[in-house]
Amino acid sequence: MLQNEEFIQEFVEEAMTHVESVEAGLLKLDAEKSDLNEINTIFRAIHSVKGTAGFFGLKKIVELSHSMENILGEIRNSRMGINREIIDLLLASNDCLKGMIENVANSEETEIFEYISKLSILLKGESISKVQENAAPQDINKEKAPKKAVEAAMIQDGIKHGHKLFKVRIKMNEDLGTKEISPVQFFKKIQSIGNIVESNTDISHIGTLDDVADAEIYFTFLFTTVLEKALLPIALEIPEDHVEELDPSTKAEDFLKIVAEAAAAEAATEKVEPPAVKEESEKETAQAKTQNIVVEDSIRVHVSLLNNLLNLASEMVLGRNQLLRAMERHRKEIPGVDPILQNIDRITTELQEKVMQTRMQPIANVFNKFPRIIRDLSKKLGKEIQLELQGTDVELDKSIIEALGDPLTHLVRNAADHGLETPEKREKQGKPRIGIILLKAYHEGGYVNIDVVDDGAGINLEYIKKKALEKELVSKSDVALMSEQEALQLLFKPGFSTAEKITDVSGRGVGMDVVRTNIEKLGGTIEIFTNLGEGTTFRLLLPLTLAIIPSLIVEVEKQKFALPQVNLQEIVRIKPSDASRKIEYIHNSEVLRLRGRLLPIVHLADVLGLKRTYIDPETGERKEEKRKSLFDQRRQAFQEKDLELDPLECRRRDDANIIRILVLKIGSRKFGIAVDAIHGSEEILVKPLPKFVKDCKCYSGVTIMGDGKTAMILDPEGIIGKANLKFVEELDRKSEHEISLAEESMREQQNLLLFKCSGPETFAIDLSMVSRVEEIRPEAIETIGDKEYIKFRGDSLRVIRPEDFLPVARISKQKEKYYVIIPKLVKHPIGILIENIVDTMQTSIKLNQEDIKHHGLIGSTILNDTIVLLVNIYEIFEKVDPSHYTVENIKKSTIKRKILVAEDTPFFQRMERGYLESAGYHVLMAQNGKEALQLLQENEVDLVLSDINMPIMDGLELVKKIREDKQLASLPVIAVTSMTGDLQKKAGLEAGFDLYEFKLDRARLIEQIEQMIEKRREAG
Amino acid sequence: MERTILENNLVLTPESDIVSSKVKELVEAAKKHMNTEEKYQGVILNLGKVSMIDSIGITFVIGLYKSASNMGKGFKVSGLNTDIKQLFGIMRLDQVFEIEATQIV
Amino acid sequence: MAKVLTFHLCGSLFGLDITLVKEINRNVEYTPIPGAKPYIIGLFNMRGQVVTLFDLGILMGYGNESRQDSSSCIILKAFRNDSDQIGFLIEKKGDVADIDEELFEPPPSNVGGIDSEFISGVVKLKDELLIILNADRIFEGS
Repeated sequence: MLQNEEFIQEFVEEAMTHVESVEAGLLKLDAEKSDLNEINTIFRAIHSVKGTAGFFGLKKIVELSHSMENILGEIRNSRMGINREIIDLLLASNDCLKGMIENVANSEETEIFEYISKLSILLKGESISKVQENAAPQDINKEKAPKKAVEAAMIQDGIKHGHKLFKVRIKMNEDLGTKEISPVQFFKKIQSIGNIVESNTDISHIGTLDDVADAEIYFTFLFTTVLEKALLPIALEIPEDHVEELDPSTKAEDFLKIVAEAAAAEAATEKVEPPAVKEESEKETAQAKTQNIVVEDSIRVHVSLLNNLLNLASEMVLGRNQLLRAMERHRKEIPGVDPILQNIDRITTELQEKVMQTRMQPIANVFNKFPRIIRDLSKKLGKEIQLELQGTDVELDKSIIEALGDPLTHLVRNAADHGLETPEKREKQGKPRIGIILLKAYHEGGYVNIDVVDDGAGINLEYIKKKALEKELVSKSDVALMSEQEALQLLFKPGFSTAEKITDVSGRGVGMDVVRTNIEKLGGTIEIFTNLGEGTTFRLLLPLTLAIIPSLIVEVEKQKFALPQVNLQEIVRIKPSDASRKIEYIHNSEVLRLRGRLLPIVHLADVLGLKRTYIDPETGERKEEKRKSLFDQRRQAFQEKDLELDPLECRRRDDANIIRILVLKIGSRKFGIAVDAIHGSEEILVKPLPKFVKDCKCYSGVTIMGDGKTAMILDPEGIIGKANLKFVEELDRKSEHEISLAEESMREQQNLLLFKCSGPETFAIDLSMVSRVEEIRPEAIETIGDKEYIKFRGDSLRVIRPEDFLPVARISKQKEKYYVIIPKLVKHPIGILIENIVDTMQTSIKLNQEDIKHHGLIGSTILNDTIVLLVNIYEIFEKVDPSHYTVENIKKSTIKRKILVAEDTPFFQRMERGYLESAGYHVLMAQNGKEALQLLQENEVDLVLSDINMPIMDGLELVKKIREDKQLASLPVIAVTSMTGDLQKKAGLEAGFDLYEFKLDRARLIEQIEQMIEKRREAG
Repeated sequence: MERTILENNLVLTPESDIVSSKVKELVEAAKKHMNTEEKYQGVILNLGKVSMIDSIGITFVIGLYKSASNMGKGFKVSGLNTDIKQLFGIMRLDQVFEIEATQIV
Repeated sequence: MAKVLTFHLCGSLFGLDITLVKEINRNVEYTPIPGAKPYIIGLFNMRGQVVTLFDLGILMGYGNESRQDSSSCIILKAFRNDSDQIGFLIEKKGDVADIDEELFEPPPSNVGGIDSEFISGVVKLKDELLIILNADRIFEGS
């Protein structure tokens, strides 16, 4: 029944775009009254739909759009004014049109009589009777090719009606002959879809009869049509590149030139022509081209293909992970394999990212239906509502976009219905009559946030609590203890509705609980913020990507689970012996005290319904844990009883019962989940939960791990629900504040030497690194090759200019004298050649947040209103003389050794972290002795490096405490200081330090550290 | 292909449609006829018996025109049916060589 | 004539239309799902697809005497465009029997404790009773 059925999909998509722009246009008209441009746009869109529908023989669509076009025509010519009635009818007719286009196969059955008659009534009522401007829809089969005068008029008319202008170039034998398309038929077809306004046949390639077999005829024509550029080549059955869209305002006088040019240019590339002509024609074509509209560069792809690609990309990522893991050991062994693996790694990551991008769509796709909804709502509810949209460019995965429609609609309806007050009420309150609903999308912290904000009445918490109690959704005691967030979350409980009656608008069987479930299914969450009398914000947090997520593999009761890392903040390890210090009971729930905050915690086994077991200290066997609390008396008792036991054995048994707590954060809620073991990170492919298991709230999906076994993916939100965790928003504010104050006052002072090189920058170096500064004359500098030397104490000393190794300019000047800084405590000293000594000063350094990240600089700070760059001579020396200065990377052992550094001065923190990490150690940093002790409780380290002067608890006290602690007593502790003096050393060693070293003697320190760790390891 | 001399003109009348399958034949015939001993001033291509022409066919007509021109002869096409007339019109071939609607019998 | 795959479960002999069976796996390594309904034994990985394993005994109301040590299971073909694959554990696989549909008898109201809605019929064999399962009910069982 449909003509050209195979192209119908193209038609539908094009037509839908038009119809949607008509809707948007009509809505705009409504608001801003008559805007001629807008009317023209709408008119053209309808006209296009009519034209293309005609091509496919869709009579009803043609008829309805024709009727609409008539009215629009009258309006456009100011023969009819716009009013609400007309716009409403046009909107309704447009909706009908939309419906017919969406369901194109059945469009002929659609009843459009109602619209047609209404439209014609409106038309008659206002217009002076006149012949319709537009001819009957079927303009097919014009007889003659137009002559010049008529041409011009035709173009103008065509363009007025929204026709496009194209230049089509065909090679008759290639394009028509080989496809057995008769030219006559071809031209008939052209004329059925548009008007030829000018044409030209290039016969220059045919010389004589002898050429007939192989010669080509080039035919170029200019042509107006309603068809879009994408449809035209399909309709004509010619290659896309034969069609060029032209600017519709091209002057008629130029037409002939254009068709003739094209031919010449084409010919020029194939035939050898006199150069002059060739250049000219090429130039002209180029000119003609710049007038033309840019060609589209997009392709339509079926969504199922994209989904397949996505799956494949995801499988590829997993395959790559497995490959890398399997090859880990062999990377260095097999020559040449490392760069290959790196390449595959990089490409796979990029591939996945790009494939994910193909599915990204702007959120405007979802937002765009709301202007209409708001319009209808404000009418229905009798409220004045203004809709604002922000962040419409924000992109999300296609499936998320699709799934957002319903929840957002419900929230918006809710805001309009329950949130905003009536205009009268608002006025009484001193608010503007027009209520505002804002839909805002933006990126934050790896999520996309969508806020639905209204400036209405806000949510009455007390009222909610009351309602929840009435409906018995919650108990009295629960309600009394609820935080604001928790009370608001009651809104999401199934069966909850604050409206006295469920209005048709928002209560259509879609409850808030369904909204939340839908959002959670996508891996997101909802939060509510409200201010009574001022307004409410519903915030949706949605993940950017689906499919593959980095996860932590954890174990409870010998079963493994995957926990998405997106919510994971940190991991806390607690030995049962320390449990009493960290775990408290508040309101019958267990909480963990973490750096001044209290977090509710729960054991994963309990949440999942697994029986908890523990290792019996005496028999070493696994027994069922009958007590409810995480850390019970039994374990404490064990500690005290076994004082006689070898401390290492104690430790070993304690280790077996270490509780690991994962600190998770969702939105504003932080809590801890205790697990038995942690097996490391894995990137996992999320597979949906089978429907039989969907009732288990604790799981959000299933995955297949590297070993081929399935594992459940945990859902933190579900766990909160199941465990009924209470969030106590208590902040141990006082202690936090105390600490920061104390720290400020006790920052270490440093002695700095400030200097300048050839450029304007000011540098600084810690005086404790400086042995002496020598003044020299330029002649004293000897140059051998590209290296410079001076004579120092009878020896040749290599000198370097900092500008050569730092990101600063080197300006060559003639200087009378130079200075050389001779560094201290380096095995192979190199002098630092500078030009000016600026100053020496004693000051505490506050390092700037923005690191000047460059090898050779520790950072920058501001002293006396000047930016000073702090030089790291070790790094510079490493660059200069790698053979002497690179500390070998300790990668021998597979486990990274951990060092706890207690240091309060940021400058030294950075220095020490820097060289320890580059030596291959994992560094934990504590600001003072107390923090160091805390960290030692929670983490196992191999060595402690401690400053002496620290606030709150200094190094001496720290080491004493460490030696007192049975667990930590055997830990190697090295004191590092910036002062050298024998008195301090003695005191230090007495207090319990194993070694007393100098902070800045990097090479020696690393040596010592290595030795101590080795010794300890050997000892067991 | 038939041929006659009429009023100083060589009239060529193809017997079949001018389509790719026939073109080779037509080319040979036309060449032969144009090399006749008899004198003529112009070539008239009579399409009275032709109902259909394809793209190679058009090439043939143009080739014929070019050959005639090279030989210093005039060229005219006549006896076109509606379709072919329209075709030549769109292609502006009426500006390349003369087209006569009436058939010359 | 219907081709029926027979198997032993909970001490009885059951049969299932073989056209519904995708494959039979042995030594299946499954992971249990804590907190799931009791008749769900767990999930396992079948060539990249996640298959839900059921305990038919519990599902049908037999109690949990079923498959303590067994690790063989029957995987059913995907049901009506459902993307979820399911299977259930069996004790021992039996033969494929050709059963004349005429011999199907309606199930007695209580066949050894099993809910009769899971049974589409019984067939008296030489030595024992063959209970033909109603696959539709199993799928809807959840």
